[in-house]
Amino acid sequence: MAFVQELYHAGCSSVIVDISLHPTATQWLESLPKDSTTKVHFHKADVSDWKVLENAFDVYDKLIGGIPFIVCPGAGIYEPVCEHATPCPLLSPASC
Amino acid sequence: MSRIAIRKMLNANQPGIILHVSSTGAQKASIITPLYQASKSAISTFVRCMAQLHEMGGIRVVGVAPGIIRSPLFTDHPEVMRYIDPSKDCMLEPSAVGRGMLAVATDLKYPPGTILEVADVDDNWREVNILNDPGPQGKASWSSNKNLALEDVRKIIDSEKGAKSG
Repeated sequence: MAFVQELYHAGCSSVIVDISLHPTATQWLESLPKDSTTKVHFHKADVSDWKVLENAFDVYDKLIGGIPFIVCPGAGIYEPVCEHATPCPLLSPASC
Repeated sequence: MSRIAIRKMLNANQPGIILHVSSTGAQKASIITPLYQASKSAISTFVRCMAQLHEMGGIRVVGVAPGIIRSPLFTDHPEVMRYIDPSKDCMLEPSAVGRGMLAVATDLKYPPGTILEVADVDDNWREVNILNDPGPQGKASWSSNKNLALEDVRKIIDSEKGAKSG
């Protein structure tokens, strides 16, 4: 999100592709002026699916046009969380 | 995602930038977060492997390696937030990572394949080298209390000792 904000302030439009947005991100998107030539779009999609990822480029073409100059595969990585609410992959998947 | 982007950029005869998000965790090892650190190490290595894509196809692959960041990954998760000792540890704002990402992506002084560490104050960034690197250097590189979770891991290990399979 911070990167999209940097791009936005540099006058670059973006499409965010993710399963959901953090509430702070939604809030920021809603605060942007609708008449600006710099656009930030959110496209809801499951980025763990190859076909969905390919489609994201068509979505970009439709919303902004062409092929993105910068692609940021920034999907989050975190450790599975177990019943003790502590990251502990050693418990997964059988006991988590 | 990279594979698709590379194909699209090449097909269109268009230069491009692929910017990955690694972590200072790629330079460390802990039994508390092995999958996270293995994944981030893989990202850093992938970026370095793809350095020559610039010369071959005009696509610049780089990455950023944030340290401890006041992101929802921490702030929405008290069980992770407890790793931080606010009296000792330094957290950077997400905007610091945004600036580092823009810099490593667009500033040509960073060669393709660069992993830029964003773990120090005042945008004091550092290129992480594949060999003979000193390890994370910034003030926001370490959390004091992560080892609190070691006890939990130990309990899990102990609970499985002698367990019969099936």
